[in-house]
Amino acid sequence: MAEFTIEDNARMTQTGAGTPLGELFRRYWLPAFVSKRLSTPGGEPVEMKLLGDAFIAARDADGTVSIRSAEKSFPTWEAGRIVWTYIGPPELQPEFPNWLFTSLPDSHIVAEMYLQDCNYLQGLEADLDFVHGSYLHGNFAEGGQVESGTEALQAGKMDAIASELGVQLLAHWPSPNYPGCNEYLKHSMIVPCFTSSMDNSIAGGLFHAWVPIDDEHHLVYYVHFDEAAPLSEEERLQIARGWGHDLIDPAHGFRSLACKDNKHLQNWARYKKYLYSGIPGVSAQDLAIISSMGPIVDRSLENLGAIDVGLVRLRRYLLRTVSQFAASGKVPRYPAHMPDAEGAVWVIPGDATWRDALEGRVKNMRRDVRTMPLSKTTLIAGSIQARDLIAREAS
Amino acid sequence: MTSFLVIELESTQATQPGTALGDTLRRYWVPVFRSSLLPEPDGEAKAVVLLGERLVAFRNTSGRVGLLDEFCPHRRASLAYGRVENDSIYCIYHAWRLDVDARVLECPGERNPALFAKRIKHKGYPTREQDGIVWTYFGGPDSVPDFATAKLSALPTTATQ
Repeated sequence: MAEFTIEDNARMTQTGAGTPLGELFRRYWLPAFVSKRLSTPGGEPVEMKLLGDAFIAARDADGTVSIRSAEKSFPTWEAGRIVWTYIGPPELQPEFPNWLFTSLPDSHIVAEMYLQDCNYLQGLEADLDFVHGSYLHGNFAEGGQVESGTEALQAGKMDAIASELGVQLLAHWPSPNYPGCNEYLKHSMIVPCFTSSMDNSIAGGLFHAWVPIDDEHHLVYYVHFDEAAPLSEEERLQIARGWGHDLIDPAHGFRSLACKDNKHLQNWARYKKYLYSGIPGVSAQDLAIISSMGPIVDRSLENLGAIDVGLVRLRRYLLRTVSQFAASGKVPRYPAHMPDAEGAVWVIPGDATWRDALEGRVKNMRRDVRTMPLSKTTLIAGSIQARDLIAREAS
Repeated sequence: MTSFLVIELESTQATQPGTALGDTLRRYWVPVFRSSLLPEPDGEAKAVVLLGERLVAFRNTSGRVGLLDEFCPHRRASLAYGRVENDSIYCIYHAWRLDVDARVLECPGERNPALFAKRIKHKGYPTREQDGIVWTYFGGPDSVPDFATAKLSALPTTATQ
């Protein structure tokens, strides 16, 4: 039985002005576009959309970005190689969000965006779904079989916990590096459309924003960052090739060159022995699947199971938060220390639970990005390796 | 694009159940596409629209043609992107496995995968292949006419040229 009704689906996917979720979105700072879209001070203005509304954006002669509609102008904020805006009621404008990457120098950050032809929620859900990484992003580059999820990613070793601010998806396994400890991977979804996880191509962080521009299109932002050091040229290349950002076409509205018309570059003759999906590039694999469901998938027709725990919690969270907002007018507020809510890999003594860690009862907890347990799935390393093999065979 | 032999209509409404044309077409085995649409076993799956329904066609390892609802029963991702091998089509999102008879065979990661898979229903249509043409019967599993005797009377011969 489907767990979500057609009415639920409408409430989770419609973000135009006056819709319950649309009004919730309008209470937060949202990415408008990547800074590089408007690189020249005093250059040509561009048209943009956000939550179904149309705006004109320009980088003024002094370098600041202005965003306005026919009637009025809106506040902007440039941080983390992204231009942010707030289009909600002026008297309710919140503080700038204190994301891990928004205080870093540009040299520590790669920020990219894609215009994608489907509702934002189809993308956001994939971030609350560890299991698809083993298949959609699976590869045979090391000569092996695609595993049915690493042990850690099996449904029984995953949990998802909702809080006021969003949903945290957790997977855990015994640590190979620290005897007697468990390693936990945490992906966080943060209201209204953000996720924070890890990027094991650079042993750093990965921030996603799935921002509706209307109900049938969204901009997805990939922000890769290293808190400790600037990203080297080699790391930037790894990110571009591993995730497939080299397919973004700024001349075509920041769409991917992998699109419906070319079946997202799926090619079984070339890629079947390397890639489970037959599609090169992690972002193109995600885009192919989420857009293949159509502009807004009918969630009343699904058959969900244990592997879907993360996205089920996500949907319940959105429905509950929208109802509470409609009833009370109150929205979840970001904490002063946003990093606490962000994605991480933690190593925790074996006698402690994740809840103990979340609630501050664990003393010897270390954040150990560099061990990157998820690299067991060889997601990004494997993707790069597969593309190298393909390139070598083609030449 | 593929040239479909049955009929190409501006409006898919015209062949919905309950319409004269839709009901007529659902009483016979009908030719739906050339065999060459699926040139080899375990090759690329194809999206096709027939009688207003979005379907996926694929040729399995044994050479049999499957014709199923295009969208995976799990999360409704398109099976036209599916990976065809092991006499099955696998949804590339989470590796749900279906066969040419529209049975769901595997749902990886579930606690009792076999039982879980068995209770999932997916829509599919039977196929037959003859002289380079793939035929199907849209009328439902309870009343499938015999293919060998029924097909030639179904349509004028000009329809297959």
